[in-house]
Amino acid sequence: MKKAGIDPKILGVVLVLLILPAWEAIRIGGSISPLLMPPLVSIGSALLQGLIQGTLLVQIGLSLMYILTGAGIALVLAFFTLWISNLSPAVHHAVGILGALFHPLPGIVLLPIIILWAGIGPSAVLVVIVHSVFWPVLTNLQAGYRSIPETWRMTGQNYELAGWKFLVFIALPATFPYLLAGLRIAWARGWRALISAEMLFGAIAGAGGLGWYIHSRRVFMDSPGLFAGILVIMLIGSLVESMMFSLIERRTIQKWGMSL
Amino acid sequence: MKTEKTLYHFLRMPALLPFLLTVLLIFFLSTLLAGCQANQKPAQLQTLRIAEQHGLAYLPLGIMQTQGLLDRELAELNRENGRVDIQWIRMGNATAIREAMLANRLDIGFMGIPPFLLGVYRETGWQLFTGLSESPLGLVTLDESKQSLADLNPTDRIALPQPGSIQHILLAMAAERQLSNPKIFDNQLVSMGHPDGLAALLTRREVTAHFTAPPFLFTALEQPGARQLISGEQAFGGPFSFIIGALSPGWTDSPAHTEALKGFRRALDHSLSLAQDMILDAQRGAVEESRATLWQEVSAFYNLEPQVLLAHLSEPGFRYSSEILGLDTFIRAMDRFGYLDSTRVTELLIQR
Repeated sequence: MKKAGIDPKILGVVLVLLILPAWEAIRIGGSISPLLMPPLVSIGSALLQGLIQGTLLVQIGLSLMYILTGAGIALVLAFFTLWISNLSPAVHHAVGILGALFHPLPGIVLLPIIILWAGIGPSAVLVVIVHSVFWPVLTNLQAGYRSIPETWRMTGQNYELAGWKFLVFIALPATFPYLLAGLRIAWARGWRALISAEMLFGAIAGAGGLGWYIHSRRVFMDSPGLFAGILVIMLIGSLVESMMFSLIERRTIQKWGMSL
Repeated sequence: MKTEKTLYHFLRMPALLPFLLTVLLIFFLSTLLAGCQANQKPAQLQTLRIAEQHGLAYLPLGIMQTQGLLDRELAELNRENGRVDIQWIRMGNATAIREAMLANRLDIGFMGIPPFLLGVYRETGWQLFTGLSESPLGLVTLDESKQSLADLNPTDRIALPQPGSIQHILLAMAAERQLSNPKIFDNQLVSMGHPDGLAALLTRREVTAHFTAPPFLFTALEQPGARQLISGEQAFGGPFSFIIGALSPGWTDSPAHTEALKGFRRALDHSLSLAQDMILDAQRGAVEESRATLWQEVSAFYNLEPQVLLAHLSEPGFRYSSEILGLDTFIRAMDRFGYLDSTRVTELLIQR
C-alpha cells in the first residue's frame, strides 16, 4: 500500500503553528517569568524594533558579508589544493593526512590560538570561517574528482580537452553534486562558527554582527531581544538552506539528472 | 468491560496521540522551568550560595573565606539539620551571576551597581543589601599618541568586561561629559574579562584602551608608556561604590533566612574592618604583628606575594565599607543613556 505523502511545506507550517501556542501555553500555564520565556508578542515587537529602529539589518548584513568573504577565500583555497594534490601522489596523501587531522576540529576550538596569532579583528573571524568551510569543501571536491566517470574522461580526451578546459567542461560539472554537498556542510559549519566567534570577540568592526547583537541583548537582560536574535539566526540559516541551495540544486544537478 | 474497551479505542485514535504527547511535553516543560523560578520557600536554610568575581575589590569576601568568619556565624543556625553548607563561587562577570540568580542557583551575588540596576529594571526582584568596596578604576592606554578621550578614533577598540558593566557606564558618563555623546564609543567596545583585556592591551595591537580594575589596572599602568585616560572617579564625578551585594528574590522572610542574613552581615562587618586594617598596614608600609597570619593567608588566597598585595593596597582609592554611594547618580545616568527608566527603578527599589 502506498503511503499518502505529506507535503513538507504544509508540515512545516503546521509544526510552527503547534509550537507557537505550545510556547504560550507553557509560559502562562507554568506562570513562568517573562525573563525566562518572554511572551511571543514582545519577541515579535523586539524583532520589529530591531529591524526598524535598530541596527539589526546592518548586523545581519555584516554577518553575511563575513561568511561570503570567508567562504570565497576557502573555495579558492580548496580548488587550489585540489589542483596541487593532483600533481603528485605524495602531495595528495599529505593533504589527506592534514585533512584527517584538521577537519574534525571545530573552529571555535581554534579560537584561543587564532586570537593569539591573528588578534581579535576581522582577520580572526575570517580565519575561523575559512577553517570551517575549507575542509568539508576540499574533502567533497576530492571525492567528486575521484568519481569522475571514466567515460567522461575519455569523452574529454576525444575532444582533446586538457588543462583548464578539462577542468571547466568535464571536472566541474562532474564534481558539482559533491561540491554542492560540501558547500552545504560548509555553510552550516561556517555560520555556526561565525556566530560563536562574534559572541566571543565582541564588536569586530562598527556595529558587530548577529552574534554581537545576541551578546548585547544578553548583557542588558533583554530576553525578548535575545530570542529575536535567535529567531533571526534560525530564519537565515533555513532560508539559505531551503531557498539558495535548493534553487542551485534544481537549476543544476537536478536539471542535469545527476543528483547524489 | 465495556468502558475499558472504549477507553482503549479512544486512546488508540491516531489523531489523539500527538495531542496527548504535546500536553505531556507542556506539563514537563512547565514543571522544569517553574523549578528554575524563585518561588519555593524552604523553611530551613540548607545551603548558602554566594557569588563573587575577580579582583581586589572583593577583598573582604576573601578575608571572610580564609578566616572562616561566615562559617563561625552560621554554625549555630539550622542545628537540627546539620550545618548550613556555604558555597563560594567565583564567576567571570555580572551577567553570569544575574543569570544564575534568575535560575535560583544563587542566594547572594556581588557585582557593580549598573548590572544590578539592569536586573532591578527587568523586574528580577533583587534587593540591594550592602555595599562592599570603593576602588580605583581607570581607562588605560599604551599608545602614546592618545592623550585624552578625544584622541580615540572610531577604529580604536576599547576592551571592558561587557556593555552594561560599571566600566561601560563610567565610560559613557565620561564621554557624555567630555565629548557630549555618551554612546560615541559603543560601536568599538570589545567584551573581555579583565585578564583577557589586559593581555590584549599588552599586545599593543588589538585594543587601544582597556577599562579595568586592580590588580589588572596596576599591571597595565606599570607598562612603559602607559597612560590613564580617565579614572573611575573623574568619570563619575566623585566617589562611588564599585561593588555592592544583592540578595536573590528567592530569599524569604522565614526566621532561618533572617537569621542567616544577620549572620552574614556580622561576618561582613568583621571582614570589612579587617580589610580596612589591611589598608592601614599598607599605607604605613608595614604589617602589624597581630595581622601577619591574616596577610599571609589572604595573599595566598589571591596568589599574590604579601609584599605585592601590600603595595597594591597602599594605592589611593580603596575603601571597604557597607555604605552604598552613588546609586542615584548611576540610576539617572543610565536613564539618560536609555538603559532603564529611573522612575520605575526607584519604585522597584523602594518596594523591596
